[in-house]
Amino acid sequence: MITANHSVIVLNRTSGQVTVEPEDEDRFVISAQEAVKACQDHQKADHAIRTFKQELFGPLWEWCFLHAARVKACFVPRTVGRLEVYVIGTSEQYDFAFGDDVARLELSLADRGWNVSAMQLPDGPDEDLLSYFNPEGAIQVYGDPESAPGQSPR
Amino acid sequence: MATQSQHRVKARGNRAFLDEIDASARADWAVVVAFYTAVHLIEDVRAGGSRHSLNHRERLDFVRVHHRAIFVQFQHLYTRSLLARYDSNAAFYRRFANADIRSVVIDGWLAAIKGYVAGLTSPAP
Repeated sequence: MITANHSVIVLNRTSGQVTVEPEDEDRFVISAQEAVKACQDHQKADHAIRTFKQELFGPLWEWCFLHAARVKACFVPRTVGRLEVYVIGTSEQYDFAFGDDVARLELSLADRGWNVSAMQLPDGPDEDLLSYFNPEGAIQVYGDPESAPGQSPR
Repeated sequence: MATQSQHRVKARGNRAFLDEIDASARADWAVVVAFYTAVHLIEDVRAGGSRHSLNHRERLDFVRVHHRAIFVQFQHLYTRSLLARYDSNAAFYRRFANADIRSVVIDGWLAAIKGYVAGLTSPAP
């Protein structure tokens, strides 16, 4: 991984609850507020953010967990427009069957009222991933925190 | 805004172009042309209702909501064309095998969308 100053926000999921590492909570709220604004169906502050965590990130994490063999990481970048979900695959090659699953994930989220765009990005060097989203302030829903583009190994 | 028949002509021309080139030799451009063929097919349908897409994302939403049967194929084409346009050549060709451009992209995803749209739209004048 390339060393850089990007800092993602890492979500944890324990006992069915989606939590944020304590030191990341403030940044999470800022990022989530922006994301919530991008979701026309789920607007307004605290309640929306709680909903956001439990009803969007919860199912998203579960989906990644169910597809763990093919998912290296999942990110929701800070956004000014529509909410975007980037699913980083475990393979450097575009996985067609997995692409079907990602499209169905978007359909499933839409059925629950979450108007998001989900996209598969094959694994690759940071510079490839950085072409598609800015990891600064992005919420990492799933995966090893070190898998974020630009994260230093701990 | 283009009319339904104008979108149809564009789609037909793009599709014919895919047969004129060696798609596997320039898989990045072939997938972009395949995607824009699909774009015009969708716009053909949409123009039939006197509507037009505002951008790629809004078109994807239209397909997802109104033409769910081809959403998976259309999203594949969108994603792959995005990667073709923004990846470095090295990254794109590492991620995709040239051999699948015709069998998967053109004869698979695009053909599915074309067949679906043909079933919805009236024959060309």
